[in-house]
Amino acid sequence: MKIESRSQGAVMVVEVNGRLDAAWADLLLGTVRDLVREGHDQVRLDASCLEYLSSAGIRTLLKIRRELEAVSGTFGIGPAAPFVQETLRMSGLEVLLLDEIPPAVEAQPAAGGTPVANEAAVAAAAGTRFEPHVLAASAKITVTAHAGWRPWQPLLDNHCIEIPLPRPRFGLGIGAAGRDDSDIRGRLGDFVAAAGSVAWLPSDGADRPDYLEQNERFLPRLHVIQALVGEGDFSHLLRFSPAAKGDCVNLSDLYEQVLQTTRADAAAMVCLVEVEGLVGAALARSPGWIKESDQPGQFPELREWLSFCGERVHPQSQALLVAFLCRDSAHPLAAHLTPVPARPGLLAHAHAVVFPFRPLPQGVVDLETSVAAVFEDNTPLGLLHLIEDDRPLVGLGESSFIRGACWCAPVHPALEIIT
Amino acid sequence: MLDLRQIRKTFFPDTPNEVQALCGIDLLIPEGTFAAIIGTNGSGKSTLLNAVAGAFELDQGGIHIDGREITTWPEYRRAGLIGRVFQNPFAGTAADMTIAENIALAMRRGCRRGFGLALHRTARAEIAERVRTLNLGLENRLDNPIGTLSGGQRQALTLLMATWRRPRLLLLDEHTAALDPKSAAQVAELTLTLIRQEKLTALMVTHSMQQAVQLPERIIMMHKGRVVRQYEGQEKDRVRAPDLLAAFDQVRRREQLDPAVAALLAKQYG
Ligand SMILES: Nc1ncnc2c1ncn2[C@@H]1O[C@H](COP(=O)(O)OP(=O)(O)OP(=O)(O)O)[C@@H](O)[C@H]1O
Ligand SMILES: [Mg+2]
Repeated sequence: MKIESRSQGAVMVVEVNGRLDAAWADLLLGTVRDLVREGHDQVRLDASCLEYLSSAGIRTLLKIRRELEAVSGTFGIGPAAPFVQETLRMSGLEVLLLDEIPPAVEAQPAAGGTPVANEAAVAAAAGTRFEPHVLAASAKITVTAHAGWRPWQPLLDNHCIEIPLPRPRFGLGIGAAGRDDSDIRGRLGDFVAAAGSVAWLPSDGADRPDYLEQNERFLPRLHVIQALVGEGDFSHLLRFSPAAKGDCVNLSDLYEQVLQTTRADAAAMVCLVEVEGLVGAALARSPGWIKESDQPGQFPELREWLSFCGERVHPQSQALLVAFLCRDSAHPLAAHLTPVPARPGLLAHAHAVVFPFRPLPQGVVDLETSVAAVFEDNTPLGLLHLIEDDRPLVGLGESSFIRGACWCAPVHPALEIIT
Repeated sequence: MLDLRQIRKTFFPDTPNEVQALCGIDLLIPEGTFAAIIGTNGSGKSTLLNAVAGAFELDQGGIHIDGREITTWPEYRRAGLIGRVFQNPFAGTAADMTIAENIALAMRRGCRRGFGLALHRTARAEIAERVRTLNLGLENRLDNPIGTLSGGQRQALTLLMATWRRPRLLLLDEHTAALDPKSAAQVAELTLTLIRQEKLTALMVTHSMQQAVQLPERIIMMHKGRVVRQYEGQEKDRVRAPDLLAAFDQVRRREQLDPAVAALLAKQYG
């Protein structure tokens, strides 16, 4: 099969030539996804030279249409060979057929958020365009720190507390879902919570994260031994995208932009990002197993308790990231964060849960809808506590991102601390 | 039942070529259990099977089959309890001897007194009957030299011979690896049938994650002379080939965690 794309005004026309079957369907999907990544959300398929269309091909066309609709884009088949029209009609899928190539839908004006006319904030950090939107100028996040357990002490019963994590709470830390404290003792792992969804990586040998989603009357709850939980409205939405193909932004640059945008010394953020590469670690063995005689913090014993990514992982995937950051060491939040080597004076803590790539709509988007969509038809692939690897020469560097949406706000100086 | 306790074997000890091939293996394979052993090259899979079969003396540890300690038994004596099939289809049979003669040899294995290669009519009928179950049409070719058969056919016969006298333990070392995909699938299916029919206790080394997931009821993952992970029961039912690859990845990452990375992590975790 031959796939070629050309732009026709605001519309991208993808011409397919030959057989669209299971063997070629993924290639077409990949091609369209690349177009979407590049910002094209009006896509037409020119099927006039298509010779064969199998169910696998049709399934892919429907998938493409779903993905584009999810980003407020459009997709349809423009000119089509008679048998294609016939096949689709017989399958009751004439919705995929367009009589003509309609004029492109006007880009949606940013609803709700007001773009910030602040030259300094909009200025790009090395190759990335930042586009801040004000959501609720004076909003602040109240943070609760659950600091029952500190690494690497043996776990005591009173280190563990069960907390609900419904919307609009968000957070990160170490915890597990289960019946009671004794049930989760052997499975405690890193977690991320936002917009009613909680993902955690059980440390009982599971290779993939597990997750809970808020649903009608069901509220996700987690037993945690260490957590930072934020609650409140976000003041800003920071959209960012590469200025040129190949550009990306480091996590510490994103931190800096968040502090500038929110004009704060301490901030909290929830992001949906397209990943360039992640660097981090995760608990490999539950802290619940630590005995008085163990030294989990020391090499080589540390190998049993933590796993390190070893390379930049999850390129081209999508991640939901939660972070707390602060550049004032006197701020009560500082005690729960660790230094960011790339930005002396900055402290942060970030966890990310990773999904297969899925494009994000442009402009001002809603956090809950976006996170729900991410969890909807994908199961998480991985979960990491993000760490900057600043080892000389061999270091893997920082996690970095291609584009994304970052909801952020200053953190209220009065922190609730539960020990 | 196979019971291994703290098995250790180092090749070329105290020389620059020293290899710690088995580093204290504890393994209990209950009666009638079919287990697959997976692991990277050089992880000690074959060495483990060789240790059980008695190819060399252990440095340490004990081997028990059905409650009998056989640690000090010589290899030929263990052959009475153990059936083996290797990767090479040409290793298990004598090429110049006929199918019937090869099988007669296998029937005598472990018997104190042989009955000679001259086959009696009833024995011949039994051989033809069992060879027929392979569905390869070989029952009509019992007097052909085994060297005239394909690798897949030879491996199927070797398997039949190894299980002829219902061994207490069956050891398979990548026995489908040298076959073309279609023959490999047929031999794998035959393996499963024989093991289930006879309710054999079996250990199968394989590099095929698909086989490991589909055939046995237990998976043993080895790395650098150790058992690093086992999947059994529902966990085994749930596991898929990509999960096994992910688990290998985890093992590999663990090795990359050197003191410098440890220092980095220690800073982050306080
Ligand atoms: N007889 C022997 N003498 C010396 N070294 C040996 C001997 N047998 C095995 N080794 C060494 O022991 C280690 C384990 O080898 P083994 O053959 O058991 O690995 P394996 O897991 O079966 O690998 P493969 O998947 O390649 O078959 C290797 O380093 C190998 O070189
Ligand atoms: Mg081997």
